[in-house]
Amino acid sequence: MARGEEQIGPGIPSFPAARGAMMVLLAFSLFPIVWIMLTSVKNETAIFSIPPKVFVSPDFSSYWKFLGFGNESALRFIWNSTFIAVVTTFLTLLVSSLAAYAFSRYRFRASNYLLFFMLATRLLPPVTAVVPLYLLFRYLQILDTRFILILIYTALNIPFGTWLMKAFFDGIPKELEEAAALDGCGALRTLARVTFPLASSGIAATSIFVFLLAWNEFMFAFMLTNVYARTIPVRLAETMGEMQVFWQDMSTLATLIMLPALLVGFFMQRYLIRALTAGAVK
Amino acid sequence: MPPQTRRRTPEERRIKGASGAGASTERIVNTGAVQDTARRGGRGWLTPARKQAMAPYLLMAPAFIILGAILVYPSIYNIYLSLWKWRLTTPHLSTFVGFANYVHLLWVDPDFWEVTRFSLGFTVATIALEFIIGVASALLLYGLVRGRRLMTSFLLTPYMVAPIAVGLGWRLMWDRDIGIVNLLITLVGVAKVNWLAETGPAFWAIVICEVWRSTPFVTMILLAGITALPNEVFEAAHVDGANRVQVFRRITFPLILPPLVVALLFQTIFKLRVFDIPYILTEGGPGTSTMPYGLFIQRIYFRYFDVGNAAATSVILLVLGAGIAFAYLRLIRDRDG
Repeated sequence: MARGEEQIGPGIPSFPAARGAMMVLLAFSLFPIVWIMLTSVKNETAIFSIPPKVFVSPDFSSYWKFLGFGNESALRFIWNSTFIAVVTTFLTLLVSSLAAYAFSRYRFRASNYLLFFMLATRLLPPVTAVVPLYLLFRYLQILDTRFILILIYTALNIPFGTWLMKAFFDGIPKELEEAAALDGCGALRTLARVTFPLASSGIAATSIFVFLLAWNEFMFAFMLTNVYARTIPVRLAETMGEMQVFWQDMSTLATLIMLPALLVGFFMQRYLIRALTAGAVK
Repeated sequence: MPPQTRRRTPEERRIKGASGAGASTERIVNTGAVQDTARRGGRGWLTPARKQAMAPYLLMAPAFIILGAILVYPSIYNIYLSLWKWRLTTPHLSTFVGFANYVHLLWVDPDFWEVTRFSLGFTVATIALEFIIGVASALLLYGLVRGRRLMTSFLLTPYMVAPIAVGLGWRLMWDRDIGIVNLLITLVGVAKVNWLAETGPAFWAIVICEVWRSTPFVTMILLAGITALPNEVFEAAHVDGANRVQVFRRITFPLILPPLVVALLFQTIFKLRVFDIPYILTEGGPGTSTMPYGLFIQRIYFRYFDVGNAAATSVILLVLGAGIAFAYLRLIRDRDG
């Protein structure tokens, strides 16, 4: 159909107005992110100059500081964040696919109640778990370890992961698995060779969603870690001094947190949208 | 059973079992084990039927164990903790006080009500704005013939990045002296505002930052909802002479209402948990005027070491969340049933 007045669709705004509104939206969405990245390559004088300078000769000194091996290196925090996010993604995928497979393939008495119960835990506000978990982990002497953050992020993602994977397993015909079983495939081999490959887009959607949440998470990491297991978002929050704000350091760390998320998000956008909209549109 | 029988083939064993060499009970156990070993090589008591019945529970066990330990156990333990006066610094002085912590929060502590007021105001304001901007963005994206994918990517970026990182970007933009917002408003002749240090402006600074961050979620759900609608309906309305506004109000809006309700209720639940953005923008200040429940709990626990009050606040938040969740489930059921 030709572009122009003819197209009304579901009531979309007319062309010139739409174009203007789109530009405003685009600027609104991207400006803060671009501004952080620009600030990260400005030195103090450029940051404090009035009016603000957009184009400066870039100063990458804070990147060398954080990505180098010196005193202020942030590599340890980046490594913690990466390790936690990757392991969380694997663990969540494993645990919730097994549960999702059970919900999708077995009809048994408690299955509806269990699924409801699992989804209901997603509605619990996570912050309410902080105090009991702090006491528990302190008692077990495992505060400030990557292990507890992995466990918490996995728990937070299991209900959604299970639900998402169940939707994908439901879409795979049972006959394919039965055929594999007839050909002599055991249950686990059928799962590994037939079912999982067919659910790969579900796995992609779930893993990108879980990865982003684990990589970006701040609250639990902030409250339950101290020295050893600090993640990069916690390191970022620490640069907020009482008296002085080190804008360049802060925006450099912010950029380092944002870049992997943006890369993953752009390349797997289709799956991310699928995960986001799975809750509301069936 | 002597060990060598395990190495025999199932056929041999079945023949032996059927020949009546052992007692009748042994025969029953044997036939079970025979079928089992024939297929998977399992142990004697694990008959295929039992195995079939246990399989789903075994598959779910890890998920429920983790959920139980990390999310369910704390919720229950909170109720217990909330009935005690217990300071982390003096654990030996802890005493059972019944509902005193709740009484303190609800009738004595003025901060609790300020936190509640902020949380509710924040929820209403952000959701109203997200709804308006989300509908507009979804319609605009739907109307794009070329470049829809790219535009969707761009509009989705605020939702992909860490709230703590973008919150910082907004903090820089709201800054009184070097912030771009103050620069822009002084250009049009308005006096500078100390955005993050005054009660009213701080509230709106946080609301706008959160709206900016999480509107894409609403947009994506609405866009998926609109895309799923049959195009013929709109064409028919167009043929009948309906204009844009009429089509949207009379057709599109009622049709996208179900996913919209789900999205907004999810957003309500998420708004009550907000932590990162108020923390990085204002740390709850000035005073406690922009403090969400999460930050309030954190402060009671890690600054005043007051376990009982922190747990009581958690329980209240839990009940509030459960109430909203219940309303949400009712709506879903009414929609489906």
